Amino acid sequence: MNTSLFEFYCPVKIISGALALSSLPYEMRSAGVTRAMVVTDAGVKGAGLISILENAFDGSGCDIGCIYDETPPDSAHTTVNRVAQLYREHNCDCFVAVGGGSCIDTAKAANIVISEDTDDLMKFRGADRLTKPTRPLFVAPTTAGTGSEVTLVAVINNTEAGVKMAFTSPRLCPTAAFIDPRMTLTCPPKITAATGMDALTHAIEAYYCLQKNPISDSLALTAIRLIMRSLIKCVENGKDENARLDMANGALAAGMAFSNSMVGVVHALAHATGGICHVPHGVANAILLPFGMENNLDMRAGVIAELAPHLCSVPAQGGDAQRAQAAIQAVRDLTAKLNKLCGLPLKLSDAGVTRDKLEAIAKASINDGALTYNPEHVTAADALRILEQAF
Amino acid sequence: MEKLFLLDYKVKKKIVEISLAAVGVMFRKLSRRCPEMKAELAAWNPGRRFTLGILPDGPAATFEYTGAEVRYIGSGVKDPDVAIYFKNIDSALLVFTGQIGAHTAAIQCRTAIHGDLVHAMQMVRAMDIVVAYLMPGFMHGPLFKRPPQMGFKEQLLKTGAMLELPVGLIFNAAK
Repeated sequence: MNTSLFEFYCPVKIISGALALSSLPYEMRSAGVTRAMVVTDAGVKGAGLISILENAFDGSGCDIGCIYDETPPDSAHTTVNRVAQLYREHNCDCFVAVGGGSCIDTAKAANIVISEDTDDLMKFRGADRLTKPTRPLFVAPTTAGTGSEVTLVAVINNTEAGVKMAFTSPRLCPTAAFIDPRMTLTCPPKITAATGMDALTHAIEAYYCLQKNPISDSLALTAIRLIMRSLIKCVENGKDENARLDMANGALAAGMAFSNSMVGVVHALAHATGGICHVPHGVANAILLPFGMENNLDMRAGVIAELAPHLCSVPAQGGDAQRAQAAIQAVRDLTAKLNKLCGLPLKLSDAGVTRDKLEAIAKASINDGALTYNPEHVTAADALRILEQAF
Repeated sequence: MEKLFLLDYKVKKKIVEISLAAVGVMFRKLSRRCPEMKAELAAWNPGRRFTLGILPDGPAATFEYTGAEVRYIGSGVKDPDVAIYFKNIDSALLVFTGQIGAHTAAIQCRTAIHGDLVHAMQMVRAMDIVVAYLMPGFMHGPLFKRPPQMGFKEQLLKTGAMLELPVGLIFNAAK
């Protein structure tokens, strides 16, 4: 009896291309809302991107009820509660997130607080805990990496309890995502490189991890093609709108892929490395990706080999093992080039991780749900071995 | 094997209820005797409760770690800190009859987790140890990514636990 089964879910309307954000008021009205609670951060505001948003509202009949621009890099539950409070005070009826993963996740979590009419986010941790329909959420990413604009996940720090709270629910999916190249033009080279490698890691892990399915496969391969075509171009010339659009679409496709096929050991280790040593998520992924791929060679050489034509600049020769090694080498070549262009770290020791922290990272990583989807079984000892290789 | 899934719901329910009770018996035994399980439980806070069950209102069992052992505290959902639910009884049957492993059930979206995901991962690792002792070795292949190596001591413990299982099931049925 064939016992295989997969699910695929992505209800997010995607508006991608030139002046995409100008369609925001139309989409708001289509969803029956007119007054936006905008969630962003100081960097986005400082780069002048909020003025693009404000211009989009001119003459639209919709308006901005409130702008919250103090979202920290790792959003905390206190931030979420503050956003929810402002939402109520200003009589908003929808959320608009403009920024990277932290802004988007903050808006998703504030949406839980509002929709469930609660002051205790902790009650909704885990999967499928939301009981009521959420408010419309519109997202304009300003980095090409997290894919949060199309995922059903939000991660928020509970600073009092000292834990990262993960929420997953189909109700957390945004209503619409606006992929507007104007929004990523000001992203600095090193952040462009790190977030781009985050997106590439999503795509590669989505392709070889256990929950892969034919639909996520096609999205993952599309993402890899777009990212390999344009990541270096974006780092070399941030004003290249075509390359920026490629990267934004690539990150989005990778987000759709991994939201349905999940990720593996690279993300488990990167989450723990970020939690313990505060290494940015994209940087940790960039360092760990080739080692995570190698860790899965015994179980997945054939699948990783399928990535070679999409990752390698020249056709890879030989059997599965040789072509899989060529795919891994192509990732190493890419990160080496990014290192030369903008200083993206190649080793954990270059990213501020000290050797005495490796064991704690390894122990934390085996409690990460991403390991469920990794083809190879990973114990704390296995995780430590990978970390030492990447150190 | 397809015929199993055509059985009356009441029969499937009974199979799952007995399986959950057996998990309870084995959990208690291993939490007291198995070094690997003790090492896993060392990170657990005493009083932690977890539930295994079937949505929406199917059989369920709740367990509690007392600090010294894992106890089966009865059928049903009893205020757990973390719970793993099968979305339907057929998915539970796939796991409890050893056709797929717990990780495969998760990968195939057959389960839903309620509560802290770190606690859920710890629960899954502990459950894997229970499954290794409950299921015969020849069935381990599809159940684990890396089938456990069971030496003489582990086999001895497994034999003892299996001999105690019928009495434990009768005892748990009374809860």
